[in-house]
Amino acid sequence: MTTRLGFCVTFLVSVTLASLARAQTELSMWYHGSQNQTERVIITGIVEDFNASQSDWKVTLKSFPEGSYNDSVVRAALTGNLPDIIDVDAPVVANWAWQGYLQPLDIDEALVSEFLPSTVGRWQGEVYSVGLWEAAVAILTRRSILDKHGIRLPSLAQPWSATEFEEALLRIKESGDFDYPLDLGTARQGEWFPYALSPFLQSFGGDLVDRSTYLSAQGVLNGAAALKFGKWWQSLFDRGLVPAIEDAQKDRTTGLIDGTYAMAWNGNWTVLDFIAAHGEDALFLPAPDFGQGGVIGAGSWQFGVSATSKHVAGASAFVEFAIQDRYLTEIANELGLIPPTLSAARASKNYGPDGPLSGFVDLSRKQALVRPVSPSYVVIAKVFERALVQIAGGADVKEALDEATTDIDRDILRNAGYAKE
Amino acid sequence: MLGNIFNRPCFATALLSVLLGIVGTIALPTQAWAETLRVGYYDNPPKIFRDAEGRPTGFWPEVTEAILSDLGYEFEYIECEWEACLEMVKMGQLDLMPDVAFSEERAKQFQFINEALIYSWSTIVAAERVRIKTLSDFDGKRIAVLANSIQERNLSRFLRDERLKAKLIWTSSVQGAVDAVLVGDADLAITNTFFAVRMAEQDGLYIPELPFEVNSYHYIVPPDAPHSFVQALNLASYRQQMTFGSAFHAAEYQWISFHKAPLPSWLLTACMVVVAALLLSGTLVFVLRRLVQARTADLAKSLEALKSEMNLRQKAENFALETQKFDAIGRLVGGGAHDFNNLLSVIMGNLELLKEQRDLDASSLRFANQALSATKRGAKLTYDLLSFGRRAQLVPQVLRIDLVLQGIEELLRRTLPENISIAFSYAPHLKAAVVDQGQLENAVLNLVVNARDAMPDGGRLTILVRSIAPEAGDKTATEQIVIDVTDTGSGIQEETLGKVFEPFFTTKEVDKGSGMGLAMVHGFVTQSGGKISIRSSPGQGTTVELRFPAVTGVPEQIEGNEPPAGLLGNEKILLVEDDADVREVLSQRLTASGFQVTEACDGATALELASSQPGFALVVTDLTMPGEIQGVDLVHRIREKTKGCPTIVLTGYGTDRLESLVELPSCLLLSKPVSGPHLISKIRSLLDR
Repeated sequence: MTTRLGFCVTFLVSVTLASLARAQTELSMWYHGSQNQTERVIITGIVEDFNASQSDWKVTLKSFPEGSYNDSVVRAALTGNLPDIIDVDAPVVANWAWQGYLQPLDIDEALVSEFLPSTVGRWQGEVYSVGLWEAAVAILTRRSILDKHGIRLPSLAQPWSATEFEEALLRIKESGDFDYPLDLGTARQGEWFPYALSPFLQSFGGDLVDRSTYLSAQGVLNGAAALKFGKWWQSLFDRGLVPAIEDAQKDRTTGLIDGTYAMAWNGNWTVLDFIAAHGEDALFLPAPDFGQGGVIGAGSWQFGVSATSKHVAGASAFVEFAIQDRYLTEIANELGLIPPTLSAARASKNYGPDGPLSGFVDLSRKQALVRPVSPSYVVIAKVFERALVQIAGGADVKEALDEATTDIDRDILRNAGYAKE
Repeated sequence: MLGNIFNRPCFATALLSVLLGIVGTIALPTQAWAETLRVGYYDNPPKIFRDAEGRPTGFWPEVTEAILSDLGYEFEYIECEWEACLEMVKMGQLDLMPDVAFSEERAKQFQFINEALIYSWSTIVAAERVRIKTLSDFDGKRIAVLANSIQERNLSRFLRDERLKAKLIWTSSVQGAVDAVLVGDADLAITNTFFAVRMAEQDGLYIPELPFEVNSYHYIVPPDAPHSFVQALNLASYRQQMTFGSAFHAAEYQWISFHKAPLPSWLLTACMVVVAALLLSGTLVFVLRRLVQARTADLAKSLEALKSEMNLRQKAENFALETQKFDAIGRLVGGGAHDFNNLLSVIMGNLELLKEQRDLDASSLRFANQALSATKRGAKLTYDLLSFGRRAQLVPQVLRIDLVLQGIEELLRRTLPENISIAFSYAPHLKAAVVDQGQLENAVLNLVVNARDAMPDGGRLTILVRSIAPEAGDKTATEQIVIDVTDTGSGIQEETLGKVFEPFFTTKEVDKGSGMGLAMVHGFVTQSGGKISIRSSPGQGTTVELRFPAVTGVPEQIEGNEPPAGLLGNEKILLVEDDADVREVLSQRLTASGFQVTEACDGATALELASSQPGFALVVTDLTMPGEIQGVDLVHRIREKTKGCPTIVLTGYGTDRLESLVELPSCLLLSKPVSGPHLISKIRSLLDR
């Protein structure tokens, strides 16, 4: 009898679940991180959880190689084949929203009120995307090096001044203990320059574009502060404090661990490896203050809804589901990335009060500066990178920055100020 | 012949294709490697993706299905991420992976199926002023490219590898790259080919025939896959590409090509037949329509011509009827007038003889004069009747035209209503002209009537007679006597001005004019050696100008007074008159004047007398007499007999053909009844020449 009843119950549940499954509306989702197995497993888990948690929507995940992801999206947009949910790099959100690839999310904004600003993709008052993690950079070095050269250990409250940083680099250089005192990661091209290196410009008092209007870079990218930054930047290479761009080591973590460099300007994602190699001697320090406070870059990949999706409610429901603290904490634990919320950070083993990376939470919240929120950012980033490469190669600082300013202004002009249509 | 066939590229290609197909089918191993092939699947629409039912679709699945089915393989898709798929091929966990771009690095890790099934490239879009013939022309250019795109990466690598210096103009959108070229911020752009095709028609741009960064996409198989399997796939891929209408071509047009698939040949043929039929039908319809239009136009013209002819015929019939009517009246009047003129001749002659009686008292003389006057009025009445019946004897004479017109001024005035004023103007010292007085009067009357009809609301009519001297140097020209008849009427339209002298042409209402008036005037003037012309301005009036050659002879007409009664003679005169009373009176009148009169009652007698009694100085003869010999014939024969003896012809009936007499020397025509003194004076003038 019991067996028969159990069979009936099982049968009814199966039929009900099958009916529900058939009733689910399919949502296609593209994700950029197919190469990272751990990341793919986590994201797949979130999708499966979502599909099982409700009966209305079924997300189908498709992963792309990161190198061709943006091209796939552009081509899909041109041919009208965008999926419902798109994975989007934070600084590109404004551009994709302006181009009509994205539509605003249909979510309760209170859900993201505690999120790090860099993890919420906003443009012109609308929320277009939300990220599950934050990436920050810091100066990675060893306590023993600082001690040996009599360099003060900086804190978030009292970072190095420009002079202190300068002296530290020179002392290490003079010691001859390392090939170079500092690795700025210039072997990395593309987004690294505006993400990781433009914060120095901003700490000097300059910027990539005038953020009050987003209509010109005049005065901020080629003003006095920017010129001062440019000359400092050029001097790093002239004095051999950093490797020439063409000589920079691609395997940065190895270079730091094996002592090629005394310090590295690198992201939180490498810190765990560094700690593993040097234990408690490993340090990650806040950005120096060149006059306008220490500044670090901020960024994440985020989930948004494509403009062509007919299921914005379902896609938004998935985003709301994915940004639960448990998933933010899981990503922080498994990938070493910074959780967007304090609650998730506290719950994580790396960023919790006793976690080895807990310092990054405060670093992100106090020093991180979001990159310019403008559709023009993708051009600004390229122009800025070229200017830095030119200056590093010995170009006239003012000419290089003036040319970069002109190119950015021309782009904004060609696009009529990127006014929203 | 065979050589020609084999030289044809299409034939050679087709033959090679067939041979390869046969070789492929016979020689290739089937199911020689694996029972069920494992084919890698990853999403990359439209080349490979899942349809709504979750089945793999797109270019690669369709071609793969065709190739593996041809080779007799079963297969299944193994879903994997891109990098994982490649790893699985390397490890032998996948037997086949589509959509792999060739690179030297990959060629070391996998076996590539040589036949590439897809090629892709980026497209160069340049400003019209910039010429790109080779990729080395990139040097020194400003090149727009979408930031973070594959085009940017390829371009940067190309410039670096080729050591070319070009400035990149990054853009935030695909359209932005083209915009940068259009506004002059960039010389050229490297862009997505799908997008470039849309931009091809944009003004100010051109797309060089130069692909950039061509990539070929192939199948790959594990490094240890059997060579025969690779060869089979190679040939099958080749055959797919070489066979018209194959799955490869269908998939290419469906998923890859920018262009629509070509229509099947049978459909093209059918379309061509339909189009040809439509064109032929259209042409036939067009030709038929034109024919019908032409025939209709011809019919309309014929109808118009027929109407015109019928109208002309109607007018001719009317004219003929009118002519017959006048002719009948003329015959009636003419017949009566002849006899009446003879009676008047008798009465007039006797009265004149009576007046010459010496013992005639004053009262009798007065009675005779009154009777004679009445006789003359009767003669005038007869002439008028004959004129009305167009039987008046018309004779060209040397006349002063001004004097003729002065004589009919009153008649012309009476023709016009009170609201039309008429003025006559005559130049002094005008010479004479040779015209028929009656016809001239009739012509002027016609012109006046026309002028009257052209001025229904009144106006002014002017008749001017003047002379025009011959042009200097023209010795053949003569002085001209000109009559200008000018009205201030409605005028004549220019297009109808040339038709006014045509018979039956009229602008008057039906039954208001025969259309013969100006035609008769034209005939009269021309016959008289003159010229006629017309000038008109619509709304202002018309002038008709008649010109006659002036002559220097003495005018014959307008004898105002009776000739002197004392002119006598004694010459021998032959008098020919059938009416005995008339003959007697004339004989008495001539005899009384001293002439020796020999009478003849008919033509035959006259001829006989002329032969038998030579010596006649003059012949006076009636024109219309009984007998075989009369009229003009009689005059000629008498003149033959008498060797040109002066002749006076008396006529009382206007049907005689007198044109031949006018030109005879010493020949005068006189109308009956003729007064004695007038006759004597004419006889005397002829005898005295």
